[in-house]
Amino acid sequence: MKVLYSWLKDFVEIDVPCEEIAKRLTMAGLEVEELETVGNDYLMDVSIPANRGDCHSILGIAREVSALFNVPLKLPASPDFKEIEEVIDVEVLSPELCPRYTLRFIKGVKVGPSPEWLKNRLELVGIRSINNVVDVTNYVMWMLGQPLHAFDADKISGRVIVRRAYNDEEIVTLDGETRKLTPNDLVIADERHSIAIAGVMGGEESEVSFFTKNVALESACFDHISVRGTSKSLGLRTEASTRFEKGVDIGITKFASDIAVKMILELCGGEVGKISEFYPVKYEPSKIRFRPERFNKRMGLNLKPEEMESVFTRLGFKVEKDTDVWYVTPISCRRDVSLEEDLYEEIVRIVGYDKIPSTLHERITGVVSPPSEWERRKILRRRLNSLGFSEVITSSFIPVQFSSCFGEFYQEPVENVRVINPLREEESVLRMLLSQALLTLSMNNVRWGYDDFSLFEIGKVFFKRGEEYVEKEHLGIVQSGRFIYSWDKEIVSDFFLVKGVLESLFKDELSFVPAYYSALHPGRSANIIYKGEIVGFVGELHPDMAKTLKLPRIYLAEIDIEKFPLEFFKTGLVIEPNRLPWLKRDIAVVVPEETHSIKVVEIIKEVFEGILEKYELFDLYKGPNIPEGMVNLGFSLNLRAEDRTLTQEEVEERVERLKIKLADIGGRLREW
Amino acid sequence: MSPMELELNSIRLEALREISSIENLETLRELEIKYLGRKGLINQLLKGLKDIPPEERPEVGRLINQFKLELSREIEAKRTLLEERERVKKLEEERLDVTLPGVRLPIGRLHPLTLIIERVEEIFKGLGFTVVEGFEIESDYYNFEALNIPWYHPARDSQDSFYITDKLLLRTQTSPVQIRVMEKTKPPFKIIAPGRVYRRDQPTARHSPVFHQIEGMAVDRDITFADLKGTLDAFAHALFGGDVSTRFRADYFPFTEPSGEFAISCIFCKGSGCNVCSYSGWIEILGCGMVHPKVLEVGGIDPEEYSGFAFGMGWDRLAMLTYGVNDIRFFLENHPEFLAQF
Repeated sequence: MKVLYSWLKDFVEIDVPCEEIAKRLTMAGLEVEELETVGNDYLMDVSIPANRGDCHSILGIAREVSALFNVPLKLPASPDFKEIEEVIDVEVLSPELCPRYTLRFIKGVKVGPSPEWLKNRLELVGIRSINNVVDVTNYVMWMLGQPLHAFDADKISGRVIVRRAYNDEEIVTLDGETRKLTPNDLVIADERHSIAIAGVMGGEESEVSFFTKNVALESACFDHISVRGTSKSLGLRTEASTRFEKGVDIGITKFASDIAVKMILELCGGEVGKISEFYPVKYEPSKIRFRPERFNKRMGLNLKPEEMESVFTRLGFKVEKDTDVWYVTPISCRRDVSLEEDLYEEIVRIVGYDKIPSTLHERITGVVSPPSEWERRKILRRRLNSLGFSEVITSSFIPVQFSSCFGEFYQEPVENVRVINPLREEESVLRMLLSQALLTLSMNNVRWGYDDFSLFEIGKVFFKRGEEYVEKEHLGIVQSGRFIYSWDKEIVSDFFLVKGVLESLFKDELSFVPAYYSALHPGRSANIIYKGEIVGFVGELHPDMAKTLKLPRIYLAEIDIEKFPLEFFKTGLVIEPNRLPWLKRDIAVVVPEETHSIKVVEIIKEVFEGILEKYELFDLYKGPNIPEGMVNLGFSLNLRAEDRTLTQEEVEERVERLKIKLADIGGRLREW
Repeated sequence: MSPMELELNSIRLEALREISSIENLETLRELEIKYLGRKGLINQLLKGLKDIPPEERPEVGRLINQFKLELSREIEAKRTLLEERERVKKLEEERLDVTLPGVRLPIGRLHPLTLIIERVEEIFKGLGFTVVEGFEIESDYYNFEALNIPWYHPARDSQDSFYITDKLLLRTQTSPVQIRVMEKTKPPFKIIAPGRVYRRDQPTARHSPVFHQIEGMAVDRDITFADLKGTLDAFAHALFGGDVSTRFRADYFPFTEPSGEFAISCIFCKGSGCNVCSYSGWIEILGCGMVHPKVLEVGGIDPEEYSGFAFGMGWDRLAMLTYGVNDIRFFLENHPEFLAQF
């Protein structure tokens, strides 16, 4: 809303620099976004909050300035003029959408260009001058906030009817567009067809032109919800609709019409007829209870009752005082003030928020620990960092082509969550797995020339299961290229590196079983099992897919971390270090090469149960000295009993048992 | 001299010559065996004693032993010398070009948004707040209706939403958490709710369709607007330093009354005016206010008995201010050169 300083001064007796006014308005919630000098005048661009429809006018801003600076408001007097008998009859068929409607017939106007001062003011606030009649309607709208519309009265046949549009009713609006309407839209019609879309835009047919002799001047109040709906569905916003949807003062309808009539008579000549008015239920603002003591208590202030009353008076609100409870009646344009708290805001807004002290609530609520998800996330982030992995945070939206990638993870049928009204394809599908986003990220990295990366993300995934929408927190890991490197050595990302990260993070409590994923390497992919349940997957991106996406070999892992309670990661009660020496024993096991190493580990664990502290696979060998079709696994075992020093005999006895167990799976112990 | 003595002397001279010409430990060991070994020359000489006349034996025996002793000493001396030489040589061979680069070890870094929220959480934890999280897929009710934003409310215009169904959408603000907390928790409580939000905006340097907010709320008996000011002042000073000034001005939000906007003095130009603060000297940080009585009622809290304040700020925006980032899209883009700086 553009406000001209000189125009503002027509309504308020003030002699403060415009800059100071701009500052106070901003602090009071009407932000002056720009203040420019035009000639020896100033132009403010004021941003009006959604609840302050009353401020879409010079008068409205003047009211604020009057209250803020405690200076008198100069309301224009009700104009008087002679009326002739002629009247256009009005019939309102939809009073629920049009609580007040007025129409005046003005006979014998001379339509022409506006005088310079009028043109100037309009152009400065951003309105194109059309002709004197239309300019007056716009001028009064800018001044008082009441949108007006002038029809060419000779184009109206019979009476004017305010009604809902018929289904598929069409009207050509002033901008030359044909608009199709529905019964949700309110129109102004004559006895033949609609001549304007109420509160939005007039019809082309009844437009005031230089040939117009007689004018019908409309000033009305339309339902804000209805105007907003129509404006939205037509994609048509006008100065009028903007004002109606934020609420126009129902108390000003006739006054605005009178002001406009007076100006038209002065600038365009002619004679005015009697007003046709529909206003069945007069609006009276309700009284609002106000408790001065409660106000001070809620705001943390210590204002005197007189100071509060002064603010209300300056705003034009009526105050009825009892001792502890007052009743305050706002003015009709302030429909945003309806609750006691709204009155509180009015006071602090006018006296200034800076008058409120800055305190801390004295009651000690104590420190509450954050939720376990928060803690878990923090622990995982720290550990991944210490493992050399960096955090990324990616968009929830993923490219459509990846929407079902790695979906085999879900054991039950699930679907992507999709947006029904995307703005662009890029924001239409939500990731159902973090790996989908990490794949996108990997492509970017490689395109930017970064082939070496070790990254993780902790974030939400979304899916639809039946009718239910699910959000879950996952951990995703992606690794590509070199992990540790220099000119003489390197450790390059591979399946076992990523697997090792998971084993470190989840304390060796996971197991891995081969699994099929269409987007993963068939021989290098596994499901991750925890407590008998599939909680994630790990694998190398399928080489065919890597080739298509122009990616090197990349390794991905993903885990549903909601399956791990915080206690899983936290330190419990400490176990004292065992100071008995270990007995180190290396063994070499030869088994058929298709045997999963985990099978051998299980046997070792079983045989050495109770004394196996640690084991490590340190060698895997095939070739000379090992029979064809067999593989040699070298394990180093750390053996220790909790309560005694182990004897060599005890260990050898277990090794003998190991030999028997190995024979069961076609293996044997290899002697050194 | 007896012929035996003469022979011994020539052997001795030969041995000493040999020792002095030896250049490595291996040859020295061979020489040691040759003379001092079990079948070495010295032992053979000692064995030969039985073939000489008994009256000469003690003298010759003494000479052989003297020779043996001398030889051992010479060999030992030579060995020490050779070993020392070898040690020096080995160290020389192990010499590195210390100007060659070291091994590249990965440093795990946190994302800037994480760094910010952990700091913010710490500050509010000190003020007695705890963290709560909500859903990103929300119902129209929690995102709008319950927050005093009915379907026809103009405030919806600025929060164009991504809809999943007629009634479900991607939340446009973290404020729905306010309602969910009130429904579950009896006052008093103080919470912050960081999270991801979505708006149907074209991405630009200042707007992203996916971004993040931090919501805050405190409800108790006798919570005042002054408490809101005090809390936010404390927060701003903790995050941006004690020398920033703060400013509250009136603003409008459907779910708070009175509502305000909280700004800090521009941390870049110290208030003298720059393009970050649009030459106003102030940077808007968040919107806030006293929880609207209707919202308290929706949450099942009696507005006569309790009062509360709430605030909401742009999490990405805080990170932009803290690190001088000019484009909000950098955060979700994750360019390696961007992330490597945190």
